[in-house]
Amino acid sequence: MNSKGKKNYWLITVATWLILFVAWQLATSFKMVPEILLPSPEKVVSTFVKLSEYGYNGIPLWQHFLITMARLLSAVVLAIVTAIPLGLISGRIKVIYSIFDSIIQFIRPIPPLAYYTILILWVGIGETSKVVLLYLAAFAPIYLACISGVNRVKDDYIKSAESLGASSKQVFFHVIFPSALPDIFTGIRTAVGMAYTTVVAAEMVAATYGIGWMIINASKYLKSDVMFVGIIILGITGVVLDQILKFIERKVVFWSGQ
Amino acid sequence: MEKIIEVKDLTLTYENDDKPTLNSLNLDINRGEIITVIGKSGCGKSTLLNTIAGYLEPTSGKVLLNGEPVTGPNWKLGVVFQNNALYPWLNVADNIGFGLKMRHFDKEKIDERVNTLLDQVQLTDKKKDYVFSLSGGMRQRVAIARALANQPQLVMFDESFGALDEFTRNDIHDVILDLWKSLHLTFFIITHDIDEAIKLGNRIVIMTPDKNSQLKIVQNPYFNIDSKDIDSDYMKFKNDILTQIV
Repeated sequence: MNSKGKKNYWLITVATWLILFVAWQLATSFKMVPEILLPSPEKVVSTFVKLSEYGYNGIPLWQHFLITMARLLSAVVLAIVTAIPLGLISGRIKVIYSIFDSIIQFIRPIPPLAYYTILILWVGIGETSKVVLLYLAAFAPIYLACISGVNRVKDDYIKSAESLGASSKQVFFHVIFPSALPDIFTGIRTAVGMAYTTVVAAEMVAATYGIGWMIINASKYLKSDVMFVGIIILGITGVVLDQILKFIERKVVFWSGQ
Repeated sequence: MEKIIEVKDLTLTYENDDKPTLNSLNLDINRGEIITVIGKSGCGKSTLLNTIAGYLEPTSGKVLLNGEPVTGPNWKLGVVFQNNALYPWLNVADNIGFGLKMRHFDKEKIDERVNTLLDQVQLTDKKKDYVFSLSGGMRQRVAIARALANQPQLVMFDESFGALDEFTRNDIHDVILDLWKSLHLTFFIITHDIDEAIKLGNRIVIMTPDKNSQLKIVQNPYFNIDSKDIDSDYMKFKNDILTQIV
C-alpha cells in the first residue's frame, strides 16, 4: 500500500468520527432525543470540567480513574509474571501441560462475573477480590498464547541451537522465549482487553469508587452526562492502552512479520 | 586418512513405519574432504544427516565421531539448514557468535572470531544488520559463518542451497570452496542437484532406492570443475549417477 493510500484511510477514520460528532450535536441541538437519554456535547464537556474540579461523590475524578487503572494494571502484571513462565513450561513439558491445561480451559470460557460473588465470599469485597477476578480474566489469554508460541517455534531453530552447543536451559531462554514473544504480546493485548471489560463490570457490581462504579452510580440518578464522561474516558483509555501496547510490541518484537 | 565420522551398520526405522529408511549403512568421512550426498526426495538423505548430527537415534548400528559414539547434537558437528534457521531477533554478528556465547567464550574472543568470519564470507559491512534485511544468499553466508564459528570437526549442509537462484548458488559454491581450501574443513553436503554434487564433492555418495545396497560411493574426477571444461565424459559420469539414483 502506498503512503497516499494510507493517508486516505486515515482521513476516512477522521471523517467517520466527525460525522458521528455532528450527528450527536444535531440530535441534541434540535432536541430529537431527550437530554436525559442523550446529553449534548457541551453538557458532557462542562460536566467533565466540573468533575475534574470537584470530583464525583466527594472523590476527585483522577482518583476514580487511577483506582480503575491500578486494579487493571496490578492484575495484568500479576498475570504476565505468572502466565508467561507457566505457559512456556506447559508448551515444552507435556506433564505440566496435562496438569494445568484442562483447569485453565475449564475456567477460560466462564464469564468472570459468574464467579465474582464466590471470590467476594472467599477473599472479601475489598481490592483483593477485584484484582483476583481481573487476574483470572487476564491469565488464560497469556497462558494460551505462550503455549501456542512454543508450539510454533521452528524445529530448525532448536536443532540449530543444540548443534551450536546450547544446553536445554539455554535453548529455552535464548531460542524458545524470544521466538514465542510475538505470540506472547498478542496474548497480553487480548488479556488487557479482557481485564479492562472485567474491571468495569466488577466495579459496577461491588465498588465504592472507580470509573465503572461512577457510571453505574450516575445511572441510578439518571445523570447521563456523568455516564457519558465515564464512558468516553473508558473508551479513550482503552484505545490509548492498546496503542501503548502496540508501540511496545513494535519495539520489542521488531522482527515479527518480517 | 584420518576418519572423523564412522557410520557403522546404521539402520533407522521411523515409528509407525514397517520398512527402515536407512538400512545397514556404512560410511566413513575423512578429515579434510567434501562428501556430497545425492538422491531422490524421500530416499533418506536428510535422515542420514539428522542421524549423523545426533538429532535422531539409530534403531541399530552407530555413528562415531573421532571414535566416540554420537549421542546427541554436538557443537563439533555443525549444521546449515535449507531455510538457514537464523534468529531474526539477533543481528548478523550475534547470530554468528551465538554458539560461542552459549559455550561461554569471553566477549573479546567472540568478537575476534566473528570479525574474521564476517571477512571470510564478505559480510563485514552487514555486521549490525538484522538477518531479515538480508538477501537469501547473504543469509546463507551468515548461516555458514555461524556453523563455522565453533570450529566444528564437520560441517553438514541439509539441502542448504536449494532455495537459492542459480547465480546466488554459484556464489555460495565459491564461498564453500574458498573456506574449505583456506580453513582445511570437512564438509558433508546433502543435495538434490547433480551438478552441485559433482562440483562440490571429492566423493559422491549416491543414495539408491535399493534398500539392500543403499549407498554407492564414487570418487569424483570432476570436483570443482569449471563450466567451460564440461565435456562428453562429464555428461557420461553425470548420467551414470542419474541412472543409479532412479
